[in-house]
Amino acid sequence: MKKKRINSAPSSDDKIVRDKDKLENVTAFPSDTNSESLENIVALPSDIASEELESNSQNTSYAPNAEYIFSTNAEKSIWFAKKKVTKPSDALEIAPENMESNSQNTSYAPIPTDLDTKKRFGKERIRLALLGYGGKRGLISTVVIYAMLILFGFVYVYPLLYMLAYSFMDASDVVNPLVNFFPSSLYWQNYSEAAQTLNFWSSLGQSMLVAILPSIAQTVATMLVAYGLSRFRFRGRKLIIGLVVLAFIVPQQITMFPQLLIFKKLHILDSLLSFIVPAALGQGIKSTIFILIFFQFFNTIPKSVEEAAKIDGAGAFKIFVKIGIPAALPAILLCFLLSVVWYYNETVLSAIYFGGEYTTLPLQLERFQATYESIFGTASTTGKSANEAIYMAGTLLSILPLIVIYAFTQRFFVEGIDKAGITGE
Amino acid sequence: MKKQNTIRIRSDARNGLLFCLPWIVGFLALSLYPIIMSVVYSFSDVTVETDGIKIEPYGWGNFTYALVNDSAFVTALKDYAIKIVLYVPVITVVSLIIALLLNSKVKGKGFFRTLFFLPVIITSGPVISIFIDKGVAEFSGIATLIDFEALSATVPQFLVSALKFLTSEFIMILWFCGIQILVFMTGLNKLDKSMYEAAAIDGASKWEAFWKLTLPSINPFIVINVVFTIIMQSMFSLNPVISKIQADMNASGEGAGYGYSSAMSWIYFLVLVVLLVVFVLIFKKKERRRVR
Repeated sequence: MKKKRINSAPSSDDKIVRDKDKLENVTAFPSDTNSESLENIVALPSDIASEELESNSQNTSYAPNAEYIFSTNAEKSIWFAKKKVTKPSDALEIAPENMESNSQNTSYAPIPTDLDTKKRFGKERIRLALLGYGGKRGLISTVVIYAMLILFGFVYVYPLLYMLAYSFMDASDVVNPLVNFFPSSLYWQNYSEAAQTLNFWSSLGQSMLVAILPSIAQTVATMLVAYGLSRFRFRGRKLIIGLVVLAFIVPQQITMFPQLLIFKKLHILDSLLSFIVPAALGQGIKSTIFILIFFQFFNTIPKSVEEAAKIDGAGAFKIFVKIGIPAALPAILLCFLLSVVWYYNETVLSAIYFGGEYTTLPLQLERFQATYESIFGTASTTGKSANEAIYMAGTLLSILPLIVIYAFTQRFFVEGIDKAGITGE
Repeated sequence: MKKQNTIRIRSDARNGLLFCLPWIVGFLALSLYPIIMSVVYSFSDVTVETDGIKIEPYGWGNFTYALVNDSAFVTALKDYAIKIVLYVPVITVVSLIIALLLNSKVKGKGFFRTLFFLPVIITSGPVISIFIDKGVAEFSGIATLIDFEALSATVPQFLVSALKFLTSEFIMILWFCGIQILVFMTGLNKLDKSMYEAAAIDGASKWEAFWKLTLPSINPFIVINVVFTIIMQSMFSLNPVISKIQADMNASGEGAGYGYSSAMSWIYFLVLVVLLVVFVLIFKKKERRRVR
């Protein structure tokens, strides 16, 4: 029965999905890949989706089906996380829920249905609604959960909201004790002055350069090492893994000065190369985390896929390009984005290595006060000073690029970590 | 057949090393060599001259000066250790709570997840230091709820100051939870649902199920998070020890310079390793006890 399903042609509405999912889905179905050639494996997941769509009307058949397809819970969660992107899978999302409610209805006591006394029925019902019954959550715990989530959520954004509110205050609002949170009017002047002080556009361009180029190098380098450690068995492999972890624990301060001397000898100080070279050699900022993420991803590729490719005559590097990289796409995105964020935020190293050759927004923010005074004069000469509000506006401007990046890519961050499960080992 | 096997093993070794080559080169040149040099520097008096650096052996001088004479360094180190001891359990517990909340069926899960991960994006030193400077990081609401004067009458002093510290840095602590929450969520997702159903049939309450099932099963994730928290905190640029090392690096005279800051870095590294080992042992032991 299973064979048949695998070989059946995919339905038309799955075609769009197929390209997207491609080899990614191989990871979710390690057990099914033994005898099939690559092409069929690719077709497998979308075929199941179409099967599920067809049997949409028979609700009861979901539970055993779903159990059958996913041998472990982890696989299931990975798969569903992936499926969120695609359309036809919406029907599938019902599956686990149905599974749950089915089993819960049988294992827990159903709602008591004695209608003898009206009064008791009413009371009982309220009690059940509040405390919950069987698998259903009661009102009280629902309220508590949402209240806590909202409370935590508020605490998380509070600093940002505070800064946002503060950044719009004019000079009189800042000193006015009555103006507590909300400014009396939106004062945009702060932003234009802060942007001028930060030299916003030029600094932004340099920040992006400083963040993106080393990140590309770092992503490629860490991916290569992780692939080597994950897919090949050789002497010294364990030692290298140990050293990768060790490199993470040793504080930057230990290696910083000797590295500085090396860079000086190589004449790559005061240039982007002082960031790119370590990154390209897998020694960039927090590269251990990236190696572990990639390691985890490559570990999920079934050996049989690699062997099949080998029999077809593919070399190690070709297998890496054709199988490894597509399988690790979510990890590549995640690592690249994290790397960009961390390089962007780096101030200690960029201050030392670039020596003023490049100024990033966070570096500009560090000397905000001094720059402001050199442009607009000090408080004593002009009666104006870089008040808190302008400072806050500057801070917001300096993290604005990150927030914009995050707003567009947050899904990759969060889901990537979910899938990679940095965890493992 | 056998021949083929050995060929494969050999090519495996070659290819594996080939993939690791950039890293190996990088590690030898940019990590191992600097580490060795740093050890050398820490035992010497390093002066920077125009045509390079001059190294004169100094024995244990840098280390003894750091630990005996330099009270600022010892204080910073102590502050750091206390901070880690307070931060690690709180961050672990808070991120576990948030992960559990998000793991239950709630609407807007994605939205909250996005929100809780946001701080990971904004972790540059300058921005965080502004938060702390301007008092945005404090959640004054909590601090006013607790009557510290009354507490200090009944509770030992160090507990009160610990509580004060935690309330004053509450938001900061939450802000460091981003990745830990996601790690816990992955861990909770991997748990077997049928296990809970079986427990419910046997009459276990949700509370009991949490202590007997959830906690032991996610113990590895707890250890990972503890290690991660300690290392991230230790690398954080606003860490008092790091700013002290940084400040002394470019200064000159006794108790300054590269040799001295190397020595401080090594002392710092040792403290870090000790903290790491102690915490890992504590959290690992718990699991063993419960299993028995």
